[in-house]
Amino acid sequence: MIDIVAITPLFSISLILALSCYLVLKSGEISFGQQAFFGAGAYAGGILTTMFGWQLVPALILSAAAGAVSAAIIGVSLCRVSGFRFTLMTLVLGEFAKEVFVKIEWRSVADGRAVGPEGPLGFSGIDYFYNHGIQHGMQAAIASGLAILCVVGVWLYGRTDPGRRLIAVAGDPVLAASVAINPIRTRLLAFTSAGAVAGLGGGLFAHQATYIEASNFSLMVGVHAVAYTLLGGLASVLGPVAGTTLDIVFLEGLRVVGAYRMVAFGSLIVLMLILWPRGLIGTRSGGPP
Amino acid sequence: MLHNLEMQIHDGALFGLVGANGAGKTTALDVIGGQAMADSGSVRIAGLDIGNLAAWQRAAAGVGRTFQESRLWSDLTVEDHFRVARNAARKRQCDASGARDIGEMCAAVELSKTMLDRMPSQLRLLDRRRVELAMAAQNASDLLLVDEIGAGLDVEETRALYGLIAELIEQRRVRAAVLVEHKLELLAAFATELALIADGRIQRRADCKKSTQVADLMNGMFARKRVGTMTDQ
Repeated sequence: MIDIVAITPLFSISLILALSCYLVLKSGEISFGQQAFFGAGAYAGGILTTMFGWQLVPALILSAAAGAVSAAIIGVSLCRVSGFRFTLMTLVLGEFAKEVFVKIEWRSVADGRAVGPEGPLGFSGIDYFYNHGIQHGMQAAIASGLAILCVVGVWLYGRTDPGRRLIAVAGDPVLAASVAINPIRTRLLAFTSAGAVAGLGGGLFAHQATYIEASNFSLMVGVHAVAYTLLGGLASVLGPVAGTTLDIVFLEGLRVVGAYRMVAFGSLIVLMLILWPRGLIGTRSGGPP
Repeated sequence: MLHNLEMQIHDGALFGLVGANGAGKTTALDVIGGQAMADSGSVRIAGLDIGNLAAWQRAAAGVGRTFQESRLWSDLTVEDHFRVARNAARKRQCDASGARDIGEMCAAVELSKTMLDRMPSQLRLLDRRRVELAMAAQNASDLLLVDEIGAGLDVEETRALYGLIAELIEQRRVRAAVLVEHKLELLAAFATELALIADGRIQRRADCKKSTQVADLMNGMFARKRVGTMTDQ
């Protein structure tokens, strides 16, 4: 019915990006720009394995670092604003990053073959999995392993002091400030962590896809990731898992609605927002939102 | 809203701020706590000008605050509330002497430890107020601002909360407190000094050891009320 091996990498990558959006949403903001950090991680990881012959694990760590560093740099000014200003800035960020990806042109020769990103022609030949004989089953295992790592990491984040402070700042910034919580630093830490998660997902994506180009990191990628999280709910880290499962496994994997997938997904979002605004996984507090 | 407001709160003081609705009591607390910024003037604490600092920096400098409406985070348990407040306080106090553990925070406000795993929506108002007080006191090594903590509570409950605040000052966990309260007689029993605020100014002051001054202040307050009603008519 479902080709699990085929769908696992797509599911894992989508989930990782949704988790990145979840962290930002937990700080009370909507970001439509997480695909920028996803892209930064993808280019960084791809360049390291193809051009410098790095192993996958250190390359993925650097992918996460690329996402984190770029998020931290942008977050310094971004975390000072909130509400629609924040969302608008992330929208601009996403489009800006896409333009930057088109410009990345860096060629070299490795193993007698020209490699590296070719600007508007994209970045092909990220053949790490092929060159190292990593089969589809193993690829699925790597992808799902990283997704589980991110789920656990984000869950742990919520159980530490930075996570509690994040909920405090998002829930009542005035009260949070009155107990000496620095709102900007709290949100910046979450935004940087979200960047790291997105970057890791990007690194995985680059090796899975073997070819990346700027259009892989378009606005719709970021919008989908936000939608998965909102669909699943913000109460726990299971929210993005549920939302991603709904779209990737049922709509994409089962093809229950055939070619009308995007129509079905859009309708589903609208229906959910009306009928079940807190998402599939409810909140643990019974009080009003 | 405030004009030429001048307040001096001395070490060990329980400074009672009274006045009619809209007189500027909460605004005065906001200006001290950083929830609102003054157009001009200064806010000093132990000689340090905190007037240009953000609210969180003032809290870090030793100013704690409770709010008129009960404010807690609906997604966090009571224990998480205490953790958040305690760790923010501990960060700046290297000696860690000021930061108390969660059991001590409960004890300081006489909150049963069985409440720790509850959500705020499962607490009665008195216990919510205790949680708020414990969190504010955690940071308020220099000054505690308390805005009508008795709102919605009866006189006995309010008295119990003021008893806790007086105790915090006695134990030197808090150096001084500003209390905004409508229940005037109750406030006079706990405060060391009173100030009547009207039209954004301090109109009268009273030393609570001198009962004539207190009586004068109360009369002044009621006189203003009567004048107010007469002009309204």
